[in-house]
Amino acid sequence: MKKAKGEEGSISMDMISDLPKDILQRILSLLSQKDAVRTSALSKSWRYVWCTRPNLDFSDDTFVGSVKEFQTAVDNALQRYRDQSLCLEEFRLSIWLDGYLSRESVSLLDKWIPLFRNMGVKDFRLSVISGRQVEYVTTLPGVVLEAESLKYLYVRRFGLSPGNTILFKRIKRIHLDECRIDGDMLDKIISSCPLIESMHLERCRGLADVKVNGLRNLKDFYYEEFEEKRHHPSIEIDYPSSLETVNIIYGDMVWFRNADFCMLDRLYLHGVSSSFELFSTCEFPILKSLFIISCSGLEESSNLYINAPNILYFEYNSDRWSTLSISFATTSNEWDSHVTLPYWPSSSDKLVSISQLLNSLSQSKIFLTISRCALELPCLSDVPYNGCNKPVAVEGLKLKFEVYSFSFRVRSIFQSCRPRKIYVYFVCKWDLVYLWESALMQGESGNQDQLREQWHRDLEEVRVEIYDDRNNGWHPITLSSGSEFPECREWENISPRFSLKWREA
Amino acid sequence: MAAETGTPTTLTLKSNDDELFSVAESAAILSVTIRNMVEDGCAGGVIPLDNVDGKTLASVITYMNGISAIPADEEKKKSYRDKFLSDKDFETLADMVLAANYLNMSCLMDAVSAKIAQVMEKKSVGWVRRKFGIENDYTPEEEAAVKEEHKWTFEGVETDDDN
Repeated sequence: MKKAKGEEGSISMDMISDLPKDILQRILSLLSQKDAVRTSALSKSWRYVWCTRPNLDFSDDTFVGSVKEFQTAVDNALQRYRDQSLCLEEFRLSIWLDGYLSRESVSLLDKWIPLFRNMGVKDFRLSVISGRQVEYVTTLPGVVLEAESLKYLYVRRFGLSPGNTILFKRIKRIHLDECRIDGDMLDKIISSCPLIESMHLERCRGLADVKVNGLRNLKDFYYEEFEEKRHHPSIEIDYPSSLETVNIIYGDMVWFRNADFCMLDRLYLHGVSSSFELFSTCEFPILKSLFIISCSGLEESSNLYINAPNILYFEYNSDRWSTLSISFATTSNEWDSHVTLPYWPSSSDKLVSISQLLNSLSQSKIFLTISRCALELPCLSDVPYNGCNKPVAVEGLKLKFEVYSFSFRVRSIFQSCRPRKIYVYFVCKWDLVYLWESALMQGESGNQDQLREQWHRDLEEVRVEIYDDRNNGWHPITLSSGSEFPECREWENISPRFSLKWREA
Repeated sequence: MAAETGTPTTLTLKSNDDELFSVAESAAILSVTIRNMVEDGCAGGVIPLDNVDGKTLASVITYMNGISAIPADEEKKKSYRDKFLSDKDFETLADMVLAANYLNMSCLMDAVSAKIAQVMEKKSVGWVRRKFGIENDYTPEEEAAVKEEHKWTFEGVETDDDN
């Protein structure tokens, strides 16, 4: 091996330059275009190594130069590989087309794709992004759909014309974003491309119903409707056992009785308006994260059973009031549930249903967020306080309404839950003092309300803590009636929390 | 063959500095080169590997034994490879990649190539030269011309102290 003059008098071996050229090309094939081209400056023997690596990557968004220069660079590279009969196995191309140039640039695809088809490219990855308004999309050139070597396709803001033949039968990932595509075309893609592993349909137009059948390798499925209020299309997947993640945003999911999602790791359902009746019969043996956000399909249900024994994270967010209890088929208590409710109610039956929901999740660490609070004050004499809805331990309670409203609801909140931490928003210094004195500390002085006594007896200690950016941690401040209040910087930017210690029942 | 006799067949491999190594046939045939020799019936005596030294061969055999003991689980195999390569210096990696190439072991080849590529990722020319001991034989004018030609590849690069 060649000895090189090392720095600081040491001699070091050049361990890499003497490797056979095909090995060097293999190493360079694993680098981005930018990193690979830069090796040309290492030494004379490295000058042209990158030129013949078996892959070309023009997806680098760090390419510096005009659209024209970019096109020339692609043109030259393809020409060079063809002229020298070099092996080109992998080709990555990412083009962003603005409104004016798109016609010309799209026609380049007509030129390039047939060119490297003849060069034996096995792995072609293409992103085509148009800057046009979604209303004025142009049609994706048919040559893209005919590129047999396509493994990955990302298309943004183009129309897919149903007249074209689909020849990319070995494609693995297809991502259509804000495209105009009709149902027949989608059916055609699905039936032509059985190897699809990842399918994203994001805010596309023209789709009525989506049927995903026969994709035995499908791992990731993402559907997002382009408009929230429109009638949701129904989404029917024949649930291949390969599914790992499913995201549905504003679609009507079709569930099948007793479906076994044996590889599903993450399920995200947002604005799903179809019924959850059959969902409860499905099995999710390894599901770790489940999100049920604003799903009106749940409004009819009173109990949602989820057969997910290995759940770690559950998020439930409801815009409207419901009387739902949720039970998980798990024996673990090492999981978190994040529940967001639209408001803290005043009526006693709604308070009971909050207790029921929290009780049903009490095996997990509960984090509860309340967005608003009802205008009327709770009528406490109506609230039953008995064993069946005893307060549930809650790790964190986030109140996204004014502290002032909170202080009137302390009693009804503590009747349903026993939060270890209370996070308050929109707080000013005087709010905090007020809250402290009027709500949390009042039990000691006078007013021996029976209910207040109940929670106050259980409350062992309350501390106020403030987040300190400098130490990235919470630190307690002293806050007692009549004592000197700490002068903090910019009170407007501070989020304090209360840390509560409850006596064991 | 193992399947016929019921006892595992052991092969003897000889490095180019005349060290002998015993290795189970089931592990050794990860190398397509060795597998072809076995299939051609050349495995009776000692298999000479003229392009691999003893130190590297010992390492390759450790890898062969380790990876073949893991059942078909790509995740576990990958983590074994990562661990196996984690403490290797660049000189060893270069020897390994040559050995893997000669022995035609694509999984080891890919793993070592990826490891070397990873070292070069986003690094400045000067840094890569120092790391691999590459002598810069460009004249300052030539180097400036190369850099000018591919100017965009020199922007936003880590450890950009001296290029």
